[in-house]
Amino acid sequence: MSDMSNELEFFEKAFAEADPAGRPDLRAPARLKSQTFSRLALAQAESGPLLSVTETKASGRGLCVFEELARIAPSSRNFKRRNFCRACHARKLAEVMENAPIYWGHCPYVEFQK
Amino acid sequence: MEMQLQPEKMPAEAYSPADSELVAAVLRKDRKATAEFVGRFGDAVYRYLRARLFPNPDRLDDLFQETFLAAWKHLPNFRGESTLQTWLLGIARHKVEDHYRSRLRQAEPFDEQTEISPVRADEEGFLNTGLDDARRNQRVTEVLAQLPESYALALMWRYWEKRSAREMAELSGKTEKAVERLLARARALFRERWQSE
Repeated sequence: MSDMSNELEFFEKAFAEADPAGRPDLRAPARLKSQTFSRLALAQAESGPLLSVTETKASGRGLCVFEELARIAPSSRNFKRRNFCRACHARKLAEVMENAPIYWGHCPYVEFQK
Repeated sequence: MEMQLQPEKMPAEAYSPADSELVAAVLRKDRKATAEFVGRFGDAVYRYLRARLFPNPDRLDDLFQETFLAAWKHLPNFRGESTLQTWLLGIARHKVEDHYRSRLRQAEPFDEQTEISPVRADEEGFLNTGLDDARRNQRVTEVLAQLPESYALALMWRYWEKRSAREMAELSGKTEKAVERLLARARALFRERWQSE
């Protein structure tokens, strides 16, 4: 085998084995997941109302304390479809802090930190 | 130019019926499903992007968010022919290749006069290093980090993304010959740096 083909083989093999994309120990920062979820929810809300908190709960997904309050409040269906996270301090903290002091259940921003 | 997804090159999970349920819920704009979408696949997308943007991850956060936003936009097209993770990594790959293309287009013209030295017989040590696998893998990334960005990108695109020189030329708007010369120079400099310690 020529030196050139030896060299090309070296690159094929060494790079394939050194590919860091397969390392299972690396996790995305919680603040990045938080920012991304916020942007997605915003994009969804801009294209029309979100699924109501009532329907979300009916589909088996848990609601945070504020969403639960919105669900049981005597309010319109349109109100229950709002993007409540936009007004929540948990979002603001989680978007900038890796270990934000937020602890309540069924909050996506808390889940990202686990 | 329309790039083709090559999901078979992506790390894949076993097919999960939960994927279609999650897709349907995200499309209904279920906020919790959207959070689950980011939570479930965020780590895999991040690992892939970070590896491909090495050693300059300055665009990592942007590409991560752009991947999920593009996924949301194209989610109605998800047919379940691959796992959701594989599909998402295909979108991330598009983002990475857009980034490579942009950076290579901005790169300084390559020095056509520089002689590319072939591997000599007395350089066999380059090929048979005697390093164990872990050390060799570490050394590959160390040397890559020392290269000019255009050289490192070319090698990663060729050997990690497994694009041919022709594909790289089509995607970057350069000629195939120019890409081959770039790769040859990148390999030569890599070899030189590899041997310098």
